[in-house]
Amino acid sequence: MKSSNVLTNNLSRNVAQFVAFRIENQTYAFRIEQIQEIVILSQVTRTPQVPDYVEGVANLRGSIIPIVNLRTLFGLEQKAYDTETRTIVVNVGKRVIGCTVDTVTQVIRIGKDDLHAAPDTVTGHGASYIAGFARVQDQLIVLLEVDDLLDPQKLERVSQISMPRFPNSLSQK
Amino acid sequence: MTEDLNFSTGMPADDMGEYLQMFVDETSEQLDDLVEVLLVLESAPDSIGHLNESFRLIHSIKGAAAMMGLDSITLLTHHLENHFECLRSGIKSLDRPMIDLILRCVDFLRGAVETIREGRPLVSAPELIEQLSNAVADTAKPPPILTRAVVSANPSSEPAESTSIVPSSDEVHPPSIDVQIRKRMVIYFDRSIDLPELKSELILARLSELGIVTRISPASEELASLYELRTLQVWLESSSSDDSLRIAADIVGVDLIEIDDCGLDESEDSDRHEVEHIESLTKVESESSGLSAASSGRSVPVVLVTENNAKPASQLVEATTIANSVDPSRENVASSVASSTGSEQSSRVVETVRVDIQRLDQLMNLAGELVVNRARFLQLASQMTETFKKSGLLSQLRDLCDVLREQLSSTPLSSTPCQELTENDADPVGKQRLEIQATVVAFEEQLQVLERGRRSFLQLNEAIDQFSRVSDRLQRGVLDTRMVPVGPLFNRFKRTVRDISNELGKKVNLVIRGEDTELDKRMIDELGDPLVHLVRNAIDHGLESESVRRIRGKSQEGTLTLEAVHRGNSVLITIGDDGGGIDTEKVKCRAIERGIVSSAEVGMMSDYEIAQFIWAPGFSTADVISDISGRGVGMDIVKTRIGELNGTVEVDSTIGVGTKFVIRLPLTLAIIRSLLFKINQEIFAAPIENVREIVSINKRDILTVHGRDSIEVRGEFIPLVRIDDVFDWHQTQYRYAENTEVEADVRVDETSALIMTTGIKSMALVVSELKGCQHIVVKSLDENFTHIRGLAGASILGDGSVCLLLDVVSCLELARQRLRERSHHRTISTT
Repeated sequence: MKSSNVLTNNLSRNVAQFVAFRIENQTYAFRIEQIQEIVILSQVTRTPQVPDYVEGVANLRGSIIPIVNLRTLFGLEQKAYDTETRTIVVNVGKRVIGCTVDTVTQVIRIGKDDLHAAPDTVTGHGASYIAGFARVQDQLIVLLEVDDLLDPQKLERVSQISMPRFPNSLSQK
Repeated sequence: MTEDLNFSTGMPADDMGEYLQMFVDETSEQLDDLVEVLLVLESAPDSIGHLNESFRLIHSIKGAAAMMGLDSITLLTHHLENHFECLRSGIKSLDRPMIDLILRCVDFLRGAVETIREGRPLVSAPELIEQLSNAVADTAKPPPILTRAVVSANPSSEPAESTSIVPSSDEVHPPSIDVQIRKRMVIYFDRSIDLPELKSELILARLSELGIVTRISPASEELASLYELRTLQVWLESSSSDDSLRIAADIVGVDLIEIDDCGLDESEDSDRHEVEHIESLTKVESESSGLSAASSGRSVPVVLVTENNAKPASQLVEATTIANSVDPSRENVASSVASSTGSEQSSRVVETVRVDIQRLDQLMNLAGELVVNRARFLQLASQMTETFKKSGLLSQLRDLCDVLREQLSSTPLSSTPCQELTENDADPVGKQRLEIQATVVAFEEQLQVLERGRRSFLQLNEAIDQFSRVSDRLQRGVLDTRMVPVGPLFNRFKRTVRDISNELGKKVNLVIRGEDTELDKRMIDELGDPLVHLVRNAIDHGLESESVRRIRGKSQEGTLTLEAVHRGNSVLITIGDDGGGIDTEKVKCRAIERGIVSSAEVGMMSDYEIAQFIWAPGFSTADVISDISGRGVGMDIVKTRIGELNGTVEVDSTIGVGTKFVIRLPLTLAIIRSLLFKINQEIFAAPIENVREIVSINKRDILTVHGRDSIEVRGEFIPLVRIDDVFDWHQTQYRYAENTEVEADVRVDETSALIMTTGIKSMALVVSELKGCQHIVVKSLDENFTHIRGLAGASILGDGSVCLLLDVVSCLELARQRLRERSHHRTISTT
C-alpha cells in the first residue's frame, strides 16, 4: 500500500516514463506521452520524391501515415525487416508518423535525477533532437525529442530538395 | 477626387440580388482572415508570406466588390492594396499606427458588409482613403494611379434596368394556377393485389392526363422496393371534377378512393411524420407569402423537394431579406427576383429542404467509408472464389476421395496372392481396410459440410453484389444532393464582363454554354474567385483593343466563352478568348527578369512550357496596373484555389488566335473512379477521366529520337515515359526480401501503356499490369506527411494496402522537366 503511494508520487513528480527501443547496439527512448502505439506493419507503399529515410506510407486503421526508418535517418546501414522490427507511431504536432526501429525493448521509468543533458559536442551538429542521456542499470540510453527529430518542416525541406529541379541531390546520398 | 464620386449603394438592379448573399459571406470570411494575418504581422512585420497573404485577401475582396459594383469598397481596397504593395516591396515598413489605420479600414469594410446584409445604402470612407493615400504618398515612390475611374459603371446603367423590371414582374407572376384546384387523393388498394407499383404507375399515368401530379406518397422511388402497398396518396392540381378523377383512378384492385380539396396546409397536416419538410416548408411559406400575397391574392405553391437543388429556396429567403429594406427602389429588385423564382416554381413544383452542408459532408464521408468497406468485401470474396469456384478445392477433394475409394476397392483384387500366402495377416488387412473405408465415408460427410459452405458463399456473393449496388446508389444519391447547376455562377459574369468591357472600351461578347452542368455546391462557392480572375485577365490582357483587332482582321467584338462540360467523372470549365494569345517573348523576358528561370534554360523550353510561367506568384506582363488586373497576384491564386478543390487548371494559347484556360474539377471531392495498375510491384491509381486509352506496345513500335521515346497511336506521336521518368525514387528497399517476388511473366518486349491526357497534353505511361477500375476514396498525403508533387493523394485498397493516386497534370510537368534535364546532362557530358 505504502509503496504504491510512493510510486504514484514519484510518477507525478520526479519520474518520467519512456519507451525504449534499440537501433544497432544503442538504446534510445521516446517520452511515452508522444507515443500513440506500437505496431507491426506488413505493408508500406513506397513514395517518390522523398528522402531515403522515408520508407513510404502505410495504412493505420484508415489514415495514411508516413513511415520513417530511424536506422537510415541516423545514417546507419540498412537492415532487412525481421520478427523484432516494430513501428512506433508517434504524434508530432497534429501529424501522426510511424518510426521503424530494430526492436522495442521496454517501458522504463527514469528519475529526474538520472537524466543528464547531452554534451554540446553531441547536440551541436544538427542533432538538436537529442534531449539528454540517462543511465539505467549501467546502460546508456539516449533520450530523443520527437518534435525535433521528425520536424515536418525538415521533412518537407528535404523532400523539396530532392525535387527533380535539382538533379544533384540524387547523387548526394 | 474621392468626394466627387457617386457612392451608389452598389445594389445592382439586375439579377445580382441573389449573389449578394454569396458576396457578403465570402467577404466576411476574408475579412476575418485578414485581421488574423494582420495581427501576426503586428508582431512580425517583415514576414513576406503574411504580407503576400494579406495582399491576396485584399485583392480578392476588391475583385468581388468590383464585380458587384460596390464602388466604395473597391476604392478603399484599392488604396489598401497600394499600401501593401509598398510594404511588400520593402519601400515602407509596417509600424503600429499603420496597423491601426489598416484595422480601421477593415472595421469600415466590416460595417459596409453588414450594411449590405441589411440592405441599407453604402456610405463612403473618404477620410480613411485620404489617410491611406497620405501614408503612401509619404514614401518616395508614388503609388500606381487608379486608372479608369470606378465611377463610370453604375449611374448610367441603373435607371434603365429598373424600369425594365417593373412590367416584367407583373407579366411573369401568377401563371394559370387559378383554374387548377389542388386536391389530395387517397387510394386504398385491395389487400391481395400483385405488383402494386405497376398499378400505382398506371393510376398516376391516368391521373396525369387530367392534371398535374405534384407529389405522391410513398415516393415513386420507394414504390419499386415495397412488398406491400395498401394506400397511395396523390397530390395533384387539376381542373377536372372529382368524379372524373375517381373514374380515372378506379382500376382493378382499387378498393376505395377518397378525394379532398386541399391547400398547402392540409397537405402538410396529412404528413406529420415528415416534420423536417414541414418546418422548412412553413418557413419558406411564411417568408414568401408576404411577397406573393400582394400580387396574386392567393398563396403561390412555392415548395418542395430536393429533386432539383436547394437553390430556389435560398434565393427566396434572400429576396425576402432584401425586400425588408427601407429603400423603396430595392423592392423592385426583390419582387423581380421573387417573381422570377415564383414562375420557375409553378412550372416545376419542387419541394426543398435546406440542410446544413456539414451534414451532407458527414454523409459523404460515411458513404466514402462504405466504399472502402465494399472494396474490402469484394477483395475477400474474390480471394474466396479461388477456394470455392467450380473446379476449385471442393471438386479436387471429391476427386481425391474417388481415387481413394477406387484404390481401396481395387486393392483386394490385386492382393489376392497375399491372402493365400499368410492367413494370419488377412484379418488385420481387412480390418485396416474397413477403417480406411469408414474414414473415407467420414471424409465425404465433411465434404457435404463444405458443399453447404460453398452454397452459403455463393449467397454471400449475391449479398455482396446487392450491397455494392446499394452503396453505389447511396453514394450517387448523396452526391446528387450536393449538386447544383453552374448557371447562376456563370450568369454572375454577365455583369462583370459588361462593366469591365465598358471601362476598357472593348466590345466583348460573352458566350455561355452548358449552364445546366452540375457541380458540387461547395465547389461552386469556391470557384467564384478564380473565375473572376480569369475573366478579368481574359478581357484585360487577352482581348486586343478594337483597333488592333481590326488590323489583325478579326471582328471588332471580342468573344469570351464560358463553358462547362461534364466529362466522365469530372467537369471541365473552359474560359476562352479569341484575343492575342500569350506573348511568349514577353513572358520569357519577364521570367528571366524576375529570376524565375535562367536565359539558358528558357532557350530549351517550348512555347507551352513558357506559357506556364504565368502561374508563378507575382508574375505579370501587364505594363499598366489597373484596378482590373496587372499586379500579378491573380494567377497563382487561381492555381492554388483550384488545387485546393483537387482540380487542375491548364492554359493553352496560340499567338494571334486566343487563349484557353481549362479547369478540370472532380465531380466530388472525396470519391473518384480510378484505373488501378501495377508498376514494379507498386499499385498506382489514375483518375479514369485522365486515361484516354490503354494500348499494348511492342518494343519495335517505340521510336527513339534524341534519347526520347515515343509511340505512334493512329498517326499521333505520343511521348512514352516510364514511372522513373516522372518520379525520383530513392533506391533503398525496406521490406522483407521474400516480398519482392520475381514476376516471371513480365515480357520485356511487349507491355501495356496508358495514354494519359489532361485534355491538352498526353503521354503514354508504361505499366506492368492492369488491375481494373474501381471507386477509390481519396485521402490526402499532407495531413500526416507532406504534399508530393505528382501525386493527388493516396487511397486504401481492399487488402488494406495503400495505393498512390497520380495527379496527371503535374506528372506530365514532371516528366517533361526531368526528361529535359536528362537530355541537358547528356549534351553536357558529350561535349
